[in-house]
Parts: sequence; C-alpha cells; structure tokens
Amino acid sequence: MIEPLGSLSGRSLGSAGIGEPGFASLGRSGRALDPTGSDEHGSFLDALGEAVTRLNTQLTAADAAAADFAAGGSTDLHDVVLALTEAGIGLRLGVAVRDRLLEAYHDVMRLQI
Amino acid sequence: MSVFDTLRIAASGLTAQRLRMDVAASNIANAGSTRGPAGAPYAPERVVFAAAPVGGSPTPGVAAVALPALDRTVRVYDPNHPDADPNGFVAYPDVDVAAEIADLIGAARSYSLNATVTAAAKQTALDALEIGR
Repeated sequence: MIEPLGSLSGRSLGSAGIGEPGFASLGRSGRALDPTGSDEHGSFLDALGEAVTRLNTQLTAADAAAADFAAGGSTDLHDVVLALTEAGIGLRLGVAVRDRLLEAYHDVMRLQI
Repeated sequence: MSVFDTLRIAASGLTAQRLRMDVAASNIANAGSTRGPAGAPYAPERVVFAAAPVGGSPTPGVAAVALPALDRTVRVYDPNHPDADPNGFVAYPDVDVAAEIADLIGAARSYSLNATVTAAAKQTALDALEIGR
C-alpha cells in the first residue's frame, strides 16, 4: 500500500508547522525555510549596512585564505576557491542591489510633477 | 538557511575526502614502516565520518577524523631484521595496499562528487541573482 504523502517525515522548504492543520497535526520534525522572512530589520538602510559589512567580511576572509595558501599555510586549495566563490557571489549580489537602488532612484527622478 | 550553506556542506565533504586521501597515502607510504614516533610500528589509520554542524547551517555537513585501525600489526619471521624481537619476528603495520588504493580511488571520486555539488550550489546562487534581471 502506498503511504499518503502527508505521513512522510523529513525536511521541507515549505512553511511546515505554522498553524496549518495538515502539518501541525502530523507533528513532523523538519526544518523549514520561512517564506515570510522572519528576520526583522529596522530599516532598509540598516539591512543595507549589514549586508555591506557581511560582504566586506567575505572579501576579507577570501583575501586571508588566498594569502595563507600563497604563503604555504595549511589552508586547503578548495577552501581558498570556495572562499573566493562566496565572496564573488556576495559581490554580485551587492552589485545587483546597487543596480536596483540606482534604478529606483532614476525612476523617482523621472517622475513628472 | 543561508545561500552559502550548500557550499559549506559540500566544502566539509571536500575536506573530509582530502583527509581520507591523506590517510590512504600515509598508510601506503608506511606499509613497511617498522618504527613509528613512539617506537612502536606505524599504526595504520582509518577515517571515520560523522555528521556535524557546519557554519550555522541547520542541515549537517560531515566531519572526518583519522583513528588508528583496530588490527594494527602483522608478524613476519625475519631474524636478521634490526627490529626483530627475540623470537625473530618483526611487527609490520597491517596495511592492505590494494584496499588502500581502492579507498584512494573512492576518496578521489567522492571529492569529485562534492566538487559537483559546489558547482551546482554556485550556479543556483547565480541563477537566483538572474531572477531579478
């Protein structure tokens, strides 16, 4: 007999266990990605500042890993490459946010009064 | 759940497989070592993997630790060997070179698999950035 899908236990990316009768009553123990984004940021500016700080940390970590590897340290090659990859993706995200910000600014500037 | 969790989990796999390769290399290199750091013959090592949290990710990565194998030595009769005991037996590390090579190949393949995961994770992050375009 095929088990009903609801009885499967495991992780889900949905909003498991937040008041939906189907999920809550099953008592499943999975981790969920909260789609509403429960992180509370004071303002956009705070969030932006935080993101820039995190990006800077990533870039510094990548730099440090590369320098340690070049100096013959114990850093693994894949750790260096992954640190560079993380920093690269973070930088792209930062650039994307900046692009959107500028786009929004230009949209506001073009408003007809 | 951060964007980089997949990358970090895969990175833990890469590190674990690197250790596995190091251990296989060490076991092969020391297959004939009758002396170790403590005077006793070299103790072959085995890699033990355990699920372990990485970088604040709720989904565990892997941690590997090299531990001495339980069956450590084989006794070979060679009375002229400088390390022979009074009965003429020399204790060699119990290394199965063929098994070590198989383990080495397995580690290299697993490393490739984890590298494939990192490539997929990176591509996913870049795809996510493309959504807004």
